[in-house]
Amino acid sequence: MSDPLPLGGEVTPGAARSLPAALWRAIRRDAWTLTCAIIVVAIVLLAVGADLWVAIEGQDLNENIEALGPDGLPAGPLGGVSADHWFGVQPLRGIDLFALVAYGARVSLLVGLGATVLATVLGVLIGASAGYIGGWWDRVVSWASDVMLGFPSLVFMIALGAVAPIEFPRQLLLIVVLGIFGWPRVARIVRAQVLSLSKRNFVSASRVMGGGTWHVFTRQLLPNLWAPIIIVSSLTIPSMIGNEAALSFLGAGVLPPTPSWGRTISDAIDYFETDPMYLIFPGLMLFLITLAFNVVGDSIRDELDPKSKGRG
Amino acid sequence: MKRRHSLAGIAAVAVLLAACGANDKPAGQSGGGQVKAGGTLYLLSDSPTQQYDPARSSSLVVTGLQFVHRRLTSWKVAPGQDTTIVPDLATDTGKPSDGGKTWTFTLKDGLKYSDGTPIRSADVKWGLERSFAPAFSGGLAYHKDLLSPGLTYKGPFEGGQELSSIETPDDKTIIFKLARPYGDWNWVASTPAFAPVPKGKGAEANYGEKPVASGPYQIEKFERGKEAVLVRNPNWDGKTDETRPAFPDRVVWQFSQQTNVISKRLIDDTGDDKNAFGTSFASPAQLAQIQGNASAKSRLVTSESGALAYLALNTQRGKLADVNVRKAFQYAINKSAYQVASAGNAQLAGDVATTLITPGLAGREQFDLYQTKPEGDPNKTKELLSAAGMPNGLDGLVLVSRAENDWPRKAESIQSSLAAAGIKVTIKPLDEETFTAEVQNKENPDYDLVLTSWQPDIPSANANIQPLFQSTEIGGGGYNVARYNNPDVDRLITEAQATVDPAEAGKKWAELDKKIMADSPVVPLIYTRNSYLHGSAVGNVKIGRFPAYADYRQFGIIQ
Repeated sequence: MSDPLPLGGEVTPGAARSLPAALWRAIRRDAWTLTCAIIVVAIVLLAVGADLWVAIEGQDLNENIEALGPDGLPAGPLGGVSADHWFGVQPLRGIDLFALVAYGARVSLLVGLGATVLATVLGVLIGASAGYIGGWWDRVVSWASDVMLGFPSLVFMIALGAVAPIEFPRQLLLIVVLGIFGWPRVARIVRAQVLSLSKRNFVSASRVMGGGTWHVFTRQLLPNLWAPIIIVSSLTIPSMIGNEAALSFLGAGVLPPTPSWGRTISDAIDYFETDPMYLIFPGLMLFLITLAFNVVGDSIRDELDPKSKGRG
Repeated sequence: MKRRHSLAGIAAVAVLLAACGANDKPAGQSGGGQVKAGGTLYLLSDSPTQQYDPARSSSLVVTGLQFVHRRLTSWKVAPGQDTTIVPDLATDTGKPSDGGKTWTFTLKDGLKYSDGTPIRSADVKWGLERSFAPAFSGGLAYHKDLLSPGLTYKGPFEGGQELSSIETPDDKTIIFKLARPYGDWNWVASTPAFAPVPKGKGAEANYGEKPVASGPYQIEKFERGKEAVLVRNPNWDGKTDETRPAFPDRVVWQFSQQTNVISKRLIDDTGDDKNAFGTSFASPAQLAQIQGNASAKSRLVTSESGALAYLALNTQRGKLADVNVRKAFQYAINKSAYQVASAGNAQLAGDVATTLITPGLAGREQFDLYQTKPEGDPNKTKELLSAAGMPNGLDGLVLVSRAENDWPRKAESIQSSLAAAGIKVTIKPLDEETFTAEVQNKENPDYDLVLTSWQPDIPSANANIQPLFQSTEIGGGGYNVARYNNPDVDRLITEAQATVDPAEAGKKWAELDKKIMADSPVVPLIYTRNSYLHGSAVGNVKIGRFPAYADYRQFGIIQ
């Protein structure tokens, strides 16, 4: 993962300061961003209203072997896509694929957003304190984040998934684990920003005038940190969603019967030749959500930080 | 026991175009030729090795071990017929005396090892003694407690002690003095440990890579994880061996192959793969693919019946200790959905099971103590649970399954069925070794339900009932995973085992089947059919009524 911000990048005066403003400007400027923002909204609505959409479709997450043909594959063309089953059904079990995808979106987004929030909060606290306090704490944090970034986290997460007690809620476990491995990215950027800001005159002035550490941090530094925090966290979301899918794909994610895109994709690979739609629907959704979040995140960065033009 | 790719042999006469059961097709159909002696047979295996140490093997008579090793007795297997016992190294299938406590076998004349030395009765004894050595454990062990009660004998290597329960008065005769009468001893004599090992040999741990052969082939090259090449044993005499036609000149194992790659190669059927046989069962995804390919479909062989797939209920845990709660489970499972989840349709998956004894075994009676639709009756389950004081069903049960193959998906199907009946379970998939450690070895294992299957090792109801339900088989590596402990049943098992007359024994086992099912320690699901795929030049791929494994002994190359 490359850092989305060049270290030491500063916010140019005149750039958008708030997230809604930046988003709004990006959407108005670029049809591509608008499309992706719509995709994000659509998938979020799909996840939040999964019960409703699936009820409208008239299906649920139950087995239904009547929807299968004599060979265990979905009856009908295109993996059983029909008015009753919008995305067809799962081979061998006849579970409605739209229901799997809709409820799977809920897991993906919940884990992706939850882990991002956790990683961001940890990263901001640790990174800002390291940059501001400096000294041994800074060295410990830099060293720790180097170790964390170089750590084969996926292996660790799989191992943890295997040993965690079965009663422990899996979504929470994934959020915590992904969040804990996600903070160094945020911390490095925040720390660099804090280092460069604390040498600026307005910070020095505030300090000279007797501002305490907490005052200087909340009043002088934090307002100038929002832009990089928003950028890095908006780009962290798709990578967290991807990580959740990877863990579920490898069998260390959420447990059945809770649907998960990663697990559905893993099951579907065996059926690629006989029932490609089984792979295509969840695969496409995963592709769309990561693409859309990335594009929107990129655009927000361009608006908040015009100096680092990611996309031309 | 579920993963067993061993072979056995048979069928001289090769039954070439004999009309048989549903599962076979005339040999030579696709190649236009006939099975003749000669050619190379390739066996594609997903495991990293094939155990050729008889003491450590759990290979059935019909699969991999028989190429190299003969045993005292063997099986005659043919589609549509009950499997019968026939002599292999011995001249007959054993003479019981003393009410089934003493069994005498005589070896055939002129038997030789691959190195030209004669096979003597003392070698059979030595092979059995070896199987008691801790270093050579892991094979089928039906003989052990009968020859050395409590397994006090620890093998011939430390201290050089002999096993006093086996007598070899001359080079041809071997007498077994069992600890108690045992009617199925002739069948036990067909398990791998009854293969001869030249007396004094086989002390090295890798004996299985260079064993002295008694069967039609000897090992020319053995490379774990890669391949093993078997060539003809010049000292094997087909006239003394009625069960092995031994058609191919060479047999080549290809180890550590990915199952989906095996399936792809066999479906494509080009080059050497025409001479190949896939030793693992076709998975549901592969079956779906094969169904859409006429050529591959004609090369798919499915057994008539097979291992009993069942859901074991931990009878020593929580609410499941109550027999009325366990009975509720009998109505909960949608066995039709389980069939589809197992293999795509009922035809390929196997019939719905209601008994413990599998079809094809002597004495089996078909009955159903818990009659319901194949789809199950969740409402009946809810009623029974209410009556047992659980109007809100059950929650938080742990269902253990293996992580390999399609077990997790089958477990999900069970989970769905149970959820519909108000029983919430969490699936805990365990890989093979953890599964053994947690389910079979732990004192106080952490599970309520286990999804597994059982293929008897010998075609006797004994091998179906005793390992799964005798209280001595709880823990310690035993297979009584329902942890079912009923002193009455224990006593009846010992009685049935002591019955020498097969018809009478059969009746006793059928009674036991009903008695155990009345306690509902397990929910029988299906009699799992096995499907194999082979190349177009491999002929005589047949599966008898028992076991549900292809009979490797008959394989030949169509030329």
